[in-house]
Formats: sequence, C-alpha cells, structure tokens
Amino acid sequence: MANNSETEALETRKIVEEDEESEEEEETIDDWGDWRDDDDEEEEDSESGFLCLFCDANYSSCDAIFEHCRLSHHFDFHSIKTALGLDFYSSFKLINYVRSQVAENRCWSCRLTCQSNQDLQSHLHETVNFRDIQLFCGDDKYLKPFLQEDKLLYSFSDDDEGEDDYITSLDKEEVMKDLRQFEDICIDDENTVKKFESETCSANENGKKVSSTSNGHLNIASSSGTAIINGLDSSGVGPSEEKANGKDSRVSLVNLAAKDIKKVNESYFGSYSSFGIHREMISDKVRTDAYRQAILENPSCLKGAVVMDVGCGTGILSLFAAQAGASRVIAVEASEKMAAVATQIAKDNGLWRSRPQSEGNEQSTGVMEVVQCMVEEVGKSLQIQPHSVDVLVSEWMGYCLLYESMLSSVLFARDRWLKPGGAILPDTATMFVAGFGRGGTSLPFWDNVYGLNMSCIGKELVQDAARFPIVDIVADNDVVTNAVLLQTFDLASMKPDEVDFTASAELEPKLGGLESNSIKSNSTTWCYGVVLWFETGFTSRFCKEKPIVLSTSPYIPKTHWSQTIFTFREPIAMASGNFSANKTEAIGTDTCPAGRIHLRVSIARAVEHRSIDISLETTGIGSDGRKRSWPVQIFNLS
Amino acid sequence: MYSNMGYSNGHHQQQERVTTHRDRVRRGGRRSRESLRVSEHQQQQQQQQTERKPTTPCTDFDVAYFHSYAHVGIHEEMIKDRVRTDTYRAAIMQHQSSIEGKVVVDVGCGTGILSIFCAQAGAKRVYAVDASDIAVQASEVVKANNLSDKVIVLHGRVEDVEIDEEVDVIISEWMGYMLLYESMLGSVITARDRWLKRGGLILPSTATLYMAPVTHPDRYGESIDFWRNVYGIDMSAMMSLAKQCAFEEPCVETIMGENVLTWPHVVKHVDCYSIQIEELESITTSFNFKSMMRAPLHGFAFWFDVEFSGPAISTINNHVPSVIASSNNHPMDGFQKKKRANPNETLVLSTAPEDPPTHWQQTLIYFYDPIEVEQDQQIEGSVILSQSKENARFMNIHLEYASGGRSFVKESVMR
Repeated sequence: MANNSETEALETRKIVEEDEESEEEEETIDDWGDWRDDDDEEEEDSESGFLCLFCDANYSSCDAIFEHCRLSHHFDFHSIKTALGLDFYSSFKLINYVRSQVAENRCWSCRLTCQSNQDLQSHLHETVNFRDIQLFCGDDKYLKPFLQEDKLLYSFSDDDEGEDDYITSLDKEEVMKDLRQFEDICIDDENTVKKFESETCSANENGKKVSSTSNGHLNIASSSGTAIINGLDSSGVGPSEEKANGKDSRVSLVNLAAKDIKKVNESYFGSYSSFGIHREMISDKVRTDAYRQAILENPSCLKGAVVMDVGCGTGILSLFAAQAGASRVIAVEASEKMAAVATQIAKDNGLWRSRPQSEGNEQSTGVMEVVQCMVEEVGKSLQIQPHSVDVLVSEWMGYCLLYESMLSSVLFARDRWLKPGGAILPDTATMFVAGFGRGGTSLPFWDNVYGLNMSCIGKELVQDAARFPIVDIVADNDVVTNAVLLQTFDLASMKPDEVDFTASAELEPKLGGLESNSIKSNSTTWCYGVVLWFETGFTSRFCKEKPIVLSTSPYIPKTHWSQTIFTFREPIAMASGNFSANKTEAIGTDTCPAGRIHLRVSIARAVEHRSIDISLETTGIGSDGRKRSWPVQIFNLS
Repeated sequence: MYSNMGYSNGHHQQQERVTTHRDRVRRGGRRSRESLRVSEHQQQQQQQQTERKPTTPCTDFDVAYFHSYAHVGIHEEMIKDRVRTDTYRAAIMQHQSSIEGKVVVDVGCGTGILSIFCAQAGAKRVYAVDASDIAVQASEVVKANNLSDKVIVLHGRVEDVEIDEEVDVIISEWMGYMLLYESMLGSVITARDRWLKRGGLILPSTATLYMAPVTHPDRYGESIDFWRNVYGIDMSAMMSLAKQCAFEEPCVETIMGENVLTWPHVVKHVDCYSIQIEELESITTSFNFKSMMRAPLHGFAFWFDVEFSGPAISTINNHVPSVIASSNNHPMDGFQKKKRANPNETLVLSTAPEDPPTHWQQTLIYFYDPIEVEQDQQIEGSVILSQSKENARFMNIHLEYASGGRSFVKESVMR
C-alpha cells in the first residue's frame, strides 16, 4: 500500500535532485538503494502489469492500481462498489465502462467530454452521483472487455483482502530506466493515439506536465514497487542523445535522467516540431520522389534483397523497398514513438512481417519489420548475421549536408551489416559552393522604405549575418559566380572520420547570361558571401536501371533543406576579364575588383554534438595576380 | 533522419537573443510563430511558385529557427505589412492638427518609421523610445533622413528613460497576436501615466478583440487527411499524432471571411485612455453564437481591430464605461463598429478575416475533431485569457464550449 509519508519524502527528494544536478549522481543511487531488493522477477515483466484506468501507469496489483486511482484520479473503486452494492458482473462492467469513457476523453462520472486525456485528467473529480453511474454502466455491452487481456478484470475480485504486502522492490536499473523515461512521459501527450494501445497495452497515453507526472510516477514507485511506465518515447530524443545513454555507465544514466527532467519543457515543445518535420519531409516532393524512383525503378538492386533502412521515421522508404520486392526490410528507428507509428503503418498496408518468436496470430504476409533501437544495437534486438544485408537505404542528410546528419550511423551500419559489395542508397554525396550577390541579402529592401532611406539597418543586418549561417533559399539569379564542387563523399568506401574535411574552391564571376543583365562582362559585380548546397547520387553503380540525383541546388525546385548562406564581413568586388585595375587599391574594391575568389572551407563536427563548425578563409585574387586575404570567419551551425 | 531535428538548437539561438534584444524577440515571437504555423498551409503554394525571391517571408518549417532576424529581418516583415504601416500613416495625417507643433512619444519605435511620419507631419519634437538595440539603428535612420533635430531616439525602457516635458501625443504600434499576446500595451499605459498631458492624444485610441466560430475543412484536410494516402501508402497511423501536433496549440494563420460561421463576439474592449494594467491580467468572457449555416465547426478564430479616434470621443467613453461594457453583450455592436468605412470617420486598422491580410493574421484554436452544426444551432461557452504561470510571456487560453448537447473543454497555451 502507498505510504504517504514515503511518497512525500520521495517527491521532496525529486525536487532536490532537480535542483542539484551536479550532485545527484551518487546521491540518487543511495536513495534508491532503499528500494532495492532481491526481487528480480518483475523486472522484465512489463506485460504483467495492471493498467491504470485513467493514465498509462502500470501496477503489479489490483490494490495498487485502485489506490493509485483513488489518490490520483478521484476514482475510488471500493467505495463505489460498496455504495452501489455492485456484484462481480456490475464491477466488471464498471471497469469496462470507465475505460471506454476514458478512451473518448469523457468523464466517467459527469460525462463531460474533454479535448484530451490531459484535460480529462485535470477535470476528474470526486463522484457526485452514484446512481447515475449505475445507470451509465448498466449496459450489458460493458460485459465485453474494453481492453484485450485486461488483467484487472480477472483479478479485482480476488484481492479484496490481504492487500498491504507489496514490498517495494525496485531494481536500480529499472528505476533508472523509468527516470530516463520521465522525458518521454512528459512528452507523451498523445492521448488520442489509440492505435498504440494494442502495442503497449496501455489504455491511454499519459500526457502531463512535469510536476504532475513526477507525482504520479512517484506514487507508483511507492505504492507498488514495480513502476513500469509505458511511456512511449518522444521523437525529440535523438539517436545521438540515446547513443550517449547507451554508452555511458549506469551512474551517468541517472545523471542524464535528472538533466532530462530539467529539460522536459524544452523537449516537450521540441517533440512537436520534430513531428512536424516528418510531414514536411514527405511533402518535399523532390526528396521523396528521388528516393521513390531510386528504390522502385531499380529492380536489379532491390528485388529479393534484404534491405536495412537506417532511421526510418514514418517508414516510407522501407515501404517503398517492400513494394519494390525486397525479401526482407529491416527498418531501424531509435525513437520509440516513430518506431510505433512505422510499425502501425506497415501493418495497415499489409507489409508487416511478424517475427517468428512472437505469438503470431496474425498471418505474416509482409516483409517489413521495425526495430526500435540505435543502429549500433540492431544485433541485440534482432537475429541478424553480420554482413547479411544487400541494400542499405537511408535519408541521413541534414542542413548543409552534415548538420545533425546520420552519416556516421549509416557508415556504422555499412561496416557491420552490409554484405561486401552491397548497395548503399544513395551512394554519393557532393557539396557545392557559389558566391551570391546583393539580392541574396536584405540590403535592397532597406534602401527605400516608404520613401525613407533605411540602408543603415540593412548594413547592420548584413554584419550580423556574417556571424551566423542562414538556412534559406537563394534565388538562382542572385548567384553571381560559377558553382564549384567542394567535396565528394563516396559512401561505399569512405572512412567514418572522413566526415570532417577541408577543401578549396575557386570562384569566378558568372559570365553574363540572358538572365543576369546586371553582370555584363567586364563590369563589376559584388559578391556578398557564399552559398553551400549538396547533391546525393543514386549512381549506376547500384542503380543500374535508373540512376537518380537528388539535388538541393538553387537551380532546381526548392527542398526542405533550402541552401546554407555564409555572409562575408564585407562584400568583395569581382570582375571577369582584364580589368584595368588600379594597382594601388586593395583587391576586392570597386576600383580593383578581384578576378577570382579563392576559398578554403573546413567543416568539422563541433564538440557540442549535432552541430557543425564551418570555417571560411577567403582570398581575393586580382587580375594581376595580387592577393588579398580576409580574416578567417568561423560559423557554427547549431 | 530529422526526427531529432534540432528545435532546441534553434531555440537556443532565439534564447540568446532574448537577453540582448528584447524587442526583437517580441517580434521574433510573432515571426517565428507565423513561419511555423503557416508553413504547412502555404507550402504547396510555395512549391508551385517558380519564381523564388529571397525576401519572401520564409515558410520553411525549420528555417524559422535558423533564420536569424539578421537575414530578412522582423522589422522588414512588419514594415512590409502595408495595411499596418499605411493605416498608421493615414491616422497620423488625419490627426495632423493635433500633432503639428506638438510633442510626441513613440513607444517601441522599432526602426523609427512612425516617429519619422510624425516629424513629417510637423511635430515639434518626437521622442522615439525602444529598449532593444534596434534603437541604435533608428537613430541612424533619423540621421540619414535629416531629422535629427526633431526626432530624439531614447534607448531604454519606457519605465526607465527620462523625458523632461509633458507630451501631447502618444503613438505606438503595440499590438501582438490575439491583440494581447506579448503586447506592449503595458508600456503604453506607463508612458501615458508618466508623460501624457490632460486631453492628449493616444494613437491608436481603442482596441477590440473579437472571436467567432469557424469552419475550415481545407486546413483540417491538409493537416490530417493528408496521412490517409501518402504516395499510395496508408499512413493513417500518423493521424492522431498529427491532430495533436497541428491543433494542440493556437495557430496563427490567415483565414477568409467565408470561414466564419457567424457574427463575432467582443472578447475585450480596450480604451487606451483609461485601461489599467490589472485589467489585462485575466480576461473572461461568455459567448453565445448561432451558426448562420450548416457546417463542420472546426474551432474559434480570434482577431482584433484598433481605432484611431481623437481624445474627445474617447473622453466620453472614459466617462461612460457602461456603454462599452454593454456592447460586450451585443456582438453586432462590435461588428458594425468595424464596418464603418467613411474616410472622414475614425480610421480602423482591422485584422478581421474579411479584411485585407496583415502580418498579425488571425489566431485559431482548432478542435481535435470537428463538430457538425446545423443552421441556427447555438454554440455557447466561455473563454479565459490569462498570463501563464509557467512563463509570463505565454498566454493561457481556457476555452469551454458546448453545442448540440455536448460540452468540451480545451486548454491551450500561446507560446
């Protein structure tokens, strides 16, 4: 039974932990030591829990759950039962009735419909009129279990007595796991996601704000001992973050968990944005069409193949691979939430391949399976031989190609799982650079604002821009130099550490074409900075029937990657041909424009994970061969 | 792979600016919300556009986060809102007689454009006050336009800067989304109480926040039904997540007059001459709409208008607050007020769905699932707008509504 003082103590402790981030490491372990016991059998048995009627808390006993419902949700099963004199069947119906109402976010007692489970949770109140409830749940349809395998239905009657003795026994590891899931739970606002119920045996996703969650959670810990939270992961927890979790020792897991709690608010918000990106990516026709064609129109590569999709997201690439006739598709996704969605989508489309070891009442007709883990850990959750995958497919590219990119995970998967000579889609990635003119800045706008000269604001903005890379679209006619290949990656052969690179490029003024009347030959053009973009190739090496290039250049329809803009501290004048330069003037000025700009670009993964540092060294070369170098500019894309 | 695309990173970038550029952040709030929400809406449209201009307000989802104000500039966006800037300019000209030879203070001057309009209208002196670093630029702009002798830029908060004389006119563009979200009305009140002469002019003089039930099948379809068929794949497993994602928070987007199901209801009327800051802490109103047509009810829209009337009219209002209070109960009143279009009468800057779009757009609170309403069906309930305890910048919106015998509660936070 719940011991209130213990609960409170724990809550207090929790708050302390949140405040003393640096110290909780040892302290937490000591704290939890009290709870440790030699009871290991519960540890893995998350299926065996009794699911709360209102939230996704899971308990080891009926009593624990009813106590939790009474304390947290104003639902006092025993009082209601007594007040109404409910027999077994009526009680049975009551449980099913309440579950059915909660699923629709309706209050079981006053029948108010809330917009979300979260709203419902805060709405729940003491029972007002018992008689109404008897009326509501009298219907025989509630004899049908609302949840499949609802253990509560089969146990509530036989544990009337002899409560009290649920010794709190928490495995340390489990506690840590739960702690880590704090973030997940808090983000789990998706109370409407009924689809997940069957997966997780949870009636409702529990969506709560930090404080209420931690309360609920600790109640669980103290009242039953087996705190199993079916928190579905947030997609906000990125693979790299989880990687850190996986590698670190348990001690630091606790540390991390506490930090995660602190970060909850940010992540809570963040999870929505990361969800939004899936729609944006799928709606990005340039991207999705390129992958779709590469996968569907190259049967010699895909037909009968074993395919691994690294970071599958919604699973769309895996589904394409299944449609293309792959014999087996392993979709790897680190985010629990997205993995659950991908699984459901695979099932809905009849492409799900149920695993041999599962009980499998559904016929396995499909070829696709979703593995929820880091790609580094696929072997732990799946029977798979090293070097047994024929095709590795992934959409790993980030802004400026390498920002938050999953390239290293793809390379890991290649080295571990791909057959020698196996295919990687895409198999090349190329970065390009070009100079942009005044139109690529916000200067033109400020020249004349309602007849006023506000150019000083434009200048200020451009100076600011010299410190931050900007992800945005550059119009093709604002590109004032040739486009130059900066770096090429061959995914089939590159080494993981080759992701960081330094490369050079030489920019020359674009010759006056039809479009660019402003750049007549021999006239000066101002280069305000450089723009970077990338292409990935599905080359004929593996895509024999239909090689494809996915480009994010300014010359093709825009993609969600846009381009990445790096602004110079001051614009550089350029001119092609033999400009009669004033030899006393500095290169790159109006009277002595540069004939070429030599760039040296380095891109390296920054210490802060996910972000990248870009350094830009710029040298103007006059038509007479004189050079002028500007101080190096460092940009951080984060 | 973007499942973990760094919102938080973008967020940090914004945070960074929080500390240094208060005003920009305020505007940044407007802007990033807009980019965030409208993106989905406009994306297809955007993709069809072959001509891409860098100065088009960016609609790319994440761009909002990476896109520092440095590039396009929040002020640029606001100045480009011609409805806004033109109405202010027209209001200044209309009240030229009250401005000529007088002392003006521009609260939250931004680039200084309103201050310059006032100087051009013959103001003796204009104090342009802004706490953000944009004040430095405003001062440059004033210099570049040879108005340094008339426009005095004060870099600081209205509470902190000193003006050693009483002022005749306060002008300010203080309105935020939903009128009050991150609004600078508090600064206007401070300026009024510190410096305004008796009988002085405040532009705008009044502001009214409206709400109305809306139907928006296209928006619902784009966000939710989209997942039913993606390249021939049934992705409806994403739909509940999509609902959550799309409709949990208020959305700032542009709707049309035809989306509105009936006359709007006045949520709050603000008389800038008499409003006290305490009145803004929490606003409660009850509504009772009657749908003018049969349609799926998708949610409620909020918008506002502001009026630029002289002190005389408002003084009357000041003395008879009951007139205004009573108008709260008659949605028609508010609606007709807004409809006045005679150029000799009070100028109105309206952000209503039937009027030309502004950068404020409308603010929508969508339901997770639509409610089918019949013609003349009642939609009643109440709204409480209050400052969030979690973060003072946020606004909590507690909405209760009932129709067709079913009642609902929706809590949302405008972040």
